[in-house]
Amino acid sequence: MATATPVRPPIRGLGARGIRGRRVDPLDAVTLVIALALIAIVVVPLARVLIGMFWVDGALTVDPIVRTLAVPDLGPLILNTLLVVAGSSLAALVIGVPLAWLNERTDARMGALSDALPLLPFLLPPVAGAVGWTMLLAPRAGLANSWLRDALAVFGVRLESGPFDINSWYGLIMVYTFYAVPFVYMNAAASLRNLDSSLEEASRLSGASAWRTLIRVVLPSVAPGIGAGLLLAVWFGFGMFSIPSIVGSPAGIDVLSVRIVELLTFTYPPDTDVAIGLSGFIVLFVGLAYLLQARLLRKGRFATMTGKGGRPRITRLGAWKWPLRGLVGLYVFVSTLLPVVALVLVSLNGFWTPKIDWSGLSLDALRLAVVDDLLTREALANSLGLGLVGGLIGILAAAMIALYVARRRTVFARVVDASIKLPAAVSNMVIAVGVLLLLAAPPFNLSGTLAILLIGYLALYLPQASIAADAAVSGVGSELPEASAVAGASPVRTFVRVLLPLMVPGLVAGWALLFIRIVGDLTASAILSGTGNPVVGFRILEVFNGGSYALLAALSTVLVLITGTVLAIVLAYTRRRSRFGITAKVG
Amino acid sequence: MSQDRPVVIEREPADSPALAAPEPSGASSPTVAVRGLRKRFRREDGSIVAAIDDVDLAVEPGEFLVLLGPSGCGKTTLLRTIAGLETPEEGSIEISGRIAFSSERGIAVPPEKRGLSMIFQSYALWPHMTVFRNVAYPLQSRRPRQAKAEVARRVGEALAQVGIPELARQYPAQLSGGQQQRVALARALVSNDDLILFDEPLSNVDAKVREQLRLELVAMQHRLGFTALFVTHDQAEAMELATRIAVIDRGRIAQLGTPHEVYARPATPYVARFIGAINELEGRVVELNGPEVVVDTPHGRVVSTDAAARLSVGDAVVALWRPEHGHLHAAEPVAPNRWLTRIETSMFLGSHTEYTLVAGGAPARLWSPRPDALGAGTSAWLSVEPHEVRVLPLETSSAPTGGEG
Repeated sequence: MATATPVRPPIRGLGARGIRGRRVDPLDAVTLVIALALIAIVVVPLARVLIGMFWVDGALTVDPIVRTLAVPDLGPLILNTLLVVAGSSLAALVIGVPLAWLNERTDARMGALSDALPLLPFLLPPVAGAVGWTMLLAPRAGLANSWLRDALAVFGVRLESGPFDINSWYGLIMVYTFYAVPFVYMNAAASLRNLDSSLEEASRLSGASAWRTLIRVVLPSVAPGIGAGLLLAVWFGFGMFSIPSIVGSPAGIDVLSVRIVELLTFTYPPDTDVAIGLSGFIVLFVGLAYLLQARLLRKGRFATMTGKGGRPRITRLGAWKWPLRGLVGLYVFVSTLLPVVALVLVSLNGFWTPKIDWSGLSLDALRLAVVDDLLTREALANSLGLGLVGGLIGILAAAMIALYVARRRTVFARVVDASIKLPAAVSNMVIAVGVLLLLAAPPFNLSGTLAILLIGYLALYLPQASIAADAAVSGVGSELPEASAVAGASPVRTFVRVLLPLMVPGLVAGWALLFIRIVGDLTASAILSGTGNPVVGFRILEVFNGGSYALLAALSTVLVLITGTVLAIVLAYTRRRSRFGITAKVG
Repeated sequence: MSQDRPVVIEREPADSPALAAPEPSGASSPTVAVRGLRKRFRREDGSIVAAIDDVDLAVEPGEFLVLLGPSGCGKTTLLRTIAGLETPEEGSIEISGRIAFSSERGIAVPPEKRGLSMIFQSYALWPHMTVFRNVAYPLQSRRPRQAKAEVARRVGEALAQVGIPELARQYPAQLSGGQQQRVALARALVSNDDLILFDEPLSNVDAKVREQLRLELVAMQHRLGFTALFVTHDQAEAMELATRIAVIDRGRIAQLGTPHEVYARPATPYVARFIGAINELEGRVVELNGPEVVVDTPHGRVVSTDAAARLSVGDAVVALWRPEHGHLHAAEPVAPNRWLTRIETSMFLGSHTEYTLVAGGAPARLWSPRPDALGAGTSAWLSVEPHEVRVLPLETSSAPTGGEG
C-alpha cells in the first residue's frame, strides 16, 4: 500500500488536510510560501525567455526568431555545439561504463577510487579544470607537452611545439569528456550495484560465457541507469560555458553557450533578442535528448532491481586484473590530479613556462594574485559569502519542501516537487539569461548587485539541493517520526528531536554540494556578475581575457583549495556520523 | 495553541444527538471502541480499494486482541487509524472513553495526544539516541514533565522488565535484532499506557528469538495488565498470543472470537481456510431436520449438525471439515458420512500420520493419530462425525460481515 494515496474523503474539509487534521498547519503555510518563491525565481525567468521570443516591446512578433535564424554563422555554431556535446557524451559512455563495471563487478575494484571518481567536478570546478588543461597542453608552453617533447628527444625526435594542442577539437572534447564521465559513471555504478546477481547466475547456468552474460544480460539490465547518466552528460554539455570559453574560443570553435554570453555581456548594447533565440535552441536540444531517452527506455522491459539481493557477483579477471587496475588509476590521475598539479606548479612558479624552476617555487605569485589584488579579494569574499548564504538558504528551503512532499502525498505536493526540479530539465544557461533579462530590467534594477547573483545561483542549483534534501528525508523514513508522535511528542518536538538530527548529515552534504557549485560557478557568474559585484568565476574570466597566466593559475588554485577543503571536511564529517547508521552522500 | 483538547477540524452542528457526548469513562467502557470506520485508498492505476470497510470493534480492558489477516487486508491500516497515524473518512474511535476520532463531530486527535504506545514493524528506534534516551523519550515528551531522577528510575525499570538493563548506553546500531525488539518493547512499556499497539513486531527476528519473545510478551501482558492490540499475518502467532482474534478480510472483520471459536466454528469459508488446514465440499442444501443439515455434493451426501447461519433448502453451501476429524476404517463403518477412499500418499510425521486421499472423487487431507500407517494405493473407509462438519453459505463477492463474537 506504499504507493497508494488516500482518497479524498466525501466529508468536506476532513482528512484532506492531512494526518493531524489541522485547519492550516503553520509549518505548511511557511513551506508553501517558500516553495512558491523558489518556483517563481525559476519559472518566471524561464517564461521571460520563452515569451521574449515572440513578444518584444509590447507587440507580438517573430523578429527575434527571424534575426536568430539570420545569424550568419548559425549553421556552424549549432553544428559545433552538437559535435562537442555528442562527441563528449559518447566518449563518456565508452569510458564511464567500463569504469563502473570494473569498480563494481570485478576483482579489479578499488574502494577509495569509486568514491573519488564522482567527486572530480566538485574537487576541480570545470573552470579550474579548463585552465589546468590549458597549462598542460598549450602547444608551446604546456607543461605536459614540454615533458613529452623531452621524452621524445630521448628517441631522437625533436619538436618545437606540441605534440598536443589543447585549443583544438580533440582538446575541447577531451576536457568536456572528463566532466561528463562522472555522470555516466555514477548512474551506471548505482545500477550495477543494485542489479540482482541471480540474473547473471541464471545466464551463466544457461550456458552463456562471462562475456556473453555481460553483453546480453548485465548491460541491457542497467540501460536505464546508463541512459539517465548519458542524459545528464548531454544536459551538462549544452549548458557548459567555462570549458568552451577557455578551451574552445582560442581555437575558433564557437558554441551556443559562449555566443549567448558574448551577446549579453561583451556586446554593447546587449543583443538580447538573438541571445533569447539561441537559448531556444538549447531548450530544444535538451528537450529532444530527454524525449529520445524516454522513448528508448520505454521500448524495453527492464530488469527488476531487487533491493539487496545479496552480495553482487564479482567477476575474476585473472591476469587482466593488474593491468586494468593500472589503467583505471591512470585515468583518475590524468583526469583529476594532473590539472591540479599544473595549476599549483604554475602559480608557485610565478609565471607560465615549461621550464619550471624547482628551487624558485614560492607563494609570491599566489600572494600577489589573491592577497594584494583588491578586486580578487572582493571577488573571493563575495563568492564565499554567496556560497555560504546561498547554500544555506537553498538546502534549508529544499529540506522544508522535501518534508512537506513526504508528509502530504497530494497531487499539489507533487506539482510543487516537480516545479522545484524543473531547472534540471532546462539548461543552466537559459535560466541565467532569464534571470538577467527579468531582474536587471525595471522595476527590479538588480543589475550589478549581489542579490541578482544569489537569486541566479538559487534558481540554477535548486534541483541539486532538492535531490540532496529528498535523500536526507527519505533516509529518515516515516516510522521514526511516527514513533515519536505516538510517544507523545508534538510535531515541533518531533522535528527538533528526531527529524532534524537524522537529516543533518544529509543536509550538510547537500550544503557542501551547493557551496561548491556556487563558488565554482561560471555560467551565472559570467552573465550576472560584473565589476560592481565580482565573484571568483567572473574574475577568472576577466583575467583569462587580459591578464597573466600565473594569475589565472593562482586564482584557479585558490578555488581548488577552497572546494577541496570544504569537500574534505564534509566527507570526514559524514563518515563519522555514519557509525550511527545514518548515511549521507556527497555528490 | 491549546494542547489538551481535541483539535476541531470543522464546526458543524452534530445532527444526531445520539452520537453526542461520550460515556464518562467507567469500569465497563472498552479500551478501544471503533464504530463504522471507513478508509479507502486510491491505487496508482486509479482503482479504489477499501482498506477499512465499515468496521466495528471493541477491545476490552486487559485483553490481548490480535488482528489477523493476509498482507493487504487492511489490518495495519486499522491499527494506524487507532494510533492516529492515518485519518479515516468515516466513523469514530474512542480510546479509554475519550473520543479520538469522529467524522460527525469533526474531531481528529493527533497521535501524540492519544496516550497510547506502539511497537513498529521495523522497531523505529532512533539511531542517534542511546537505548536510554530512546526509552526515556516518551517520558520526556509527555505532560506532566517528569523529574530527571524519576525518568532514570522508570527507564531502568522498563529495561529490567525486558531483560536488557546492561544495554542502556548502547546505540541501536550496535544491538542485535532481538535486543532492538526488547528496546522497542521497553519504550512502549515505560509510560505505563493502558493500550499498546503492535504492528507485526516479531516478523523481523529469527524463529527462535520470536518464540522466546512471544512467551515473554504473554507473561508480561499478564503481569502488567495492559491492553494489547496486535497485528500479524501469522496464524500460529495469533493463536498463541490472543485472548481474542479478529480475522480481517478485505477491510472487514470476518470473525471476532477466541482462538478456539475461530478455529472450531469459523464464520465464513475464508476464516476456515485462513486458520488451519481444511477440507471442502461444495453443494446444495437438500434437507433441514432441526439442527441437522443434509448437503448434496458431487462427491456424495454430507450430514452436518454444525451449520452456521440460517439456511434454507436449495442454498449453495460449502461443507468443511478439519483433517484431524476424519477417521479411517478397514471395514465400512456405521456413520452418516462415509466414503470408500483410495490413499494417495501417506506421511508419518511423528505426532500423527498425514494422508492425502480421494474420497468420492474429491481430494482430501487427513491426520490420523494412529501410527499404523496405511500404504499408498490401499483402500479404506473414511468417516466424519456430523458435528465435526461445518456448513457455511458459499461466499459471494460481497461477503457479509460475519461476527458472532
